[in-house]
Amino acid sequence: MKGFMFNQFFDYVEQTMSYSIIDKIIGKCNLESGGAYTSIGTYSSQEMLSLVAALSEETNQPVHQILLNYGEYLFGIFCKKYPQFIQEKSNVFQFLSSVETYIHTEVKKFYKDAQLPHFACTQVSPDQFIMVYTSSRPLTDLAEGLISGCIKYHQEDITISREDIAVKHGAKAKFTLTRKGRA
Amino acid sequence: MSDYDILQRRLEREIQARKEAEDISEKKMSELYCLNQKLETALDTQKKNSTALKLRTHELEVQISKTEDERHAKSTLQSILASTIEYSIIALNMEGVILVWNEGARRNYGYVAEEVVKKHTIQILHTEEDVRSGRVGEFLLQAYQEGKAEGVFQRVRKDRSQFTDSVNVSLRRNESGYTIGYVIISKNITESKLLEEQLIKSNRELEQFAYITSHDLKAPLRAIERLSSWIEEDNIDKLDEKSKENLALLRQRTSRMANLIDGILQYSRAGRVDLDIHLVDTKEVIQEVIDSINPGKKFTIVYDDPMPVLTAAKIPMMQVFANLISNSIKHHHRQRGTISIHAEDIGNFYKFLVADDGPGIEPVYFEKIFVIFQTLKSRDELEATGIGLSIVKKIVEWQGGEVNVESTLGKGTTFSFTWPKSPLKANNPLE
Repeated sequence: MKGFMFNQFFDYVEQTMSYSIIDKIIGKCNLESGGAYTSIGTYSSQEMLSLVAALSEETNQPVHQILLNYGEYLFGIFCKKYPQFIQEKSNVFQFLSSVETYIHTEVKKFYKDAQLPHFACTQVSPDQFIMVYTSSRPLTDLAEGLISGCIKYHQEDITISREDIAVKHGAKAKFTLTRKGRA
Repeated sequence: MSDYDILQRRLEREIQARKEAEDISEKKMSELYCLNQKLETALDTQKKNSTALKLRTHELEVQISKTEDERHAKSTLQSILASTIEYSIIALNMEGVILVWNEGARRNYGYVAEEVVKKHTIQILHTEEDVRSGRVGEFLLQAYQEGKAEGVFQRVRKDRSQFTDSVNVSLRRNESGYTIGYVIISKNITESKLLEEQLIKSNRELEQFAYITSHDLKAPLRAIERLSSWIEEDNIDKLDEKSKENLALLRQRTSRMANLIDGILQYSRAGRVDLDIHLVDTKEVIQEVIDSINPGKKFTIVYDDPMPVLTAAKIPMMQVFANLISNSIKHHHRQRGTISIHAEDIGNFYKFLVADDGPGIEPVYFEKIFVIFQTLKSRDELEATGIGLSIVKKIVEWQGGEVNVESTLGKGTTFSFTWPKSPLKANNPLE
């Protein structure tokens, strides 16, 4: 996992809580990196899971909620840092379609070693969109948070229904997005 | 846990992260550097390729323009071939197979190009005899060895009719100089050959006529001469001086007429004697001429020593020298004179000069003197037939040479003529 994800996570925690919590959870987890991350570095995604678990323990928030919130926050950061990928797209469905085919392709050019999740998108009807998420890491909650952030950003009235699919390794889930009012 | 401790740990983590970032950045930069090197190499290769490509493009453009020129030249050539209708133009490969067949060939032989091109050899145009005897093969062989050959053949049309063709064949070479075939240009000369034959026939008839006429005319002349002598003898006492004088004049005129008739005979036969060609020493020829003319001691005749020795017909040459020398003696204004003879080597010819110290000729008469029966003085003044120089001109021109005259009044005249070092193959086409 890119160090960017850790640094953004710390920024999120510091902004919503405090740096002393970050210092505390780093101290709790026995991290290989020692909790020092640089955006361009690559670290074990297990460290992220440990940090999230430690934060959950510290704050009594469920892990999935933390990842969901962080996902929403992260989407906002993406929009600020990489507006070239966002502004061109006019709506949620179009943007999500482009994640796999366009954004991830560009990311691979930057980081050859990046391990990216896989999104299989199907536009079922004008108002319904299905996205099957597959990842080597159990971060479905983070993905949901990102989708949610995307909907908020576009200010569209879309509900997300999630169906986890059991797999041996990593995670897989089917997100069905439905535009309300017209369905 | 104090804020200070937290801050310190944070700082430590930040420092560690920064170091990591630097390490990664350096690694990235070195990767980029390598990549840049590779790009530069690739760019270099690309530039070379681009230059090579430009060169190739240029070559192609030149090729295109060349092809365009060739196409243009080819179309010019095509139009020449198509518009040449008098002459047959035929190109062959080395095996004799016909490759090009022009409009002239179609008209002369009756075949259209599609019937013969790449289908037949040149033998199709020749008589079976010429092919069988190897004459056709030898003709091409000569062209192969000497670069060209000329000949006259009986040729066969599509309808099997024959005609006489004057054929000229040249060897074809490609740009590298390799022999690639032959080009044959020929002309139907049946008609001109017919005319030539007619001309030869009428010339023979004319000669025969001249001979018979002169012979027949001479007989009555001799009779007149004899009869006048008898009249004079029989009436020697009865005739007064005036009549005797008239009878003498009559005989003189008769003799002049006999000379004229002989002249016609000589002229018509000039150069027609059997051309016995062998090695001739001009010095001997001149000496023989002097001996036969016998100018006595009054005239001095000098000539270079040595004089050219050449392969020639001796008798015509003697006739030329004899006529020029006796002409100089006959027209000399003094009792004594000098004639000098020189020779010059002018390449394929010798130039002979016969110079006298006689009265000279005015330039206006330079042409007239060579015309038959033309004399500059009246025959009563000087007994001459006006045939000698015309015979000289006729003989020399038949030999392929030419006669000239230069003169200064009061100083003398120089006649010059050229004579080929080796005799022409057909020195008299009408013979």
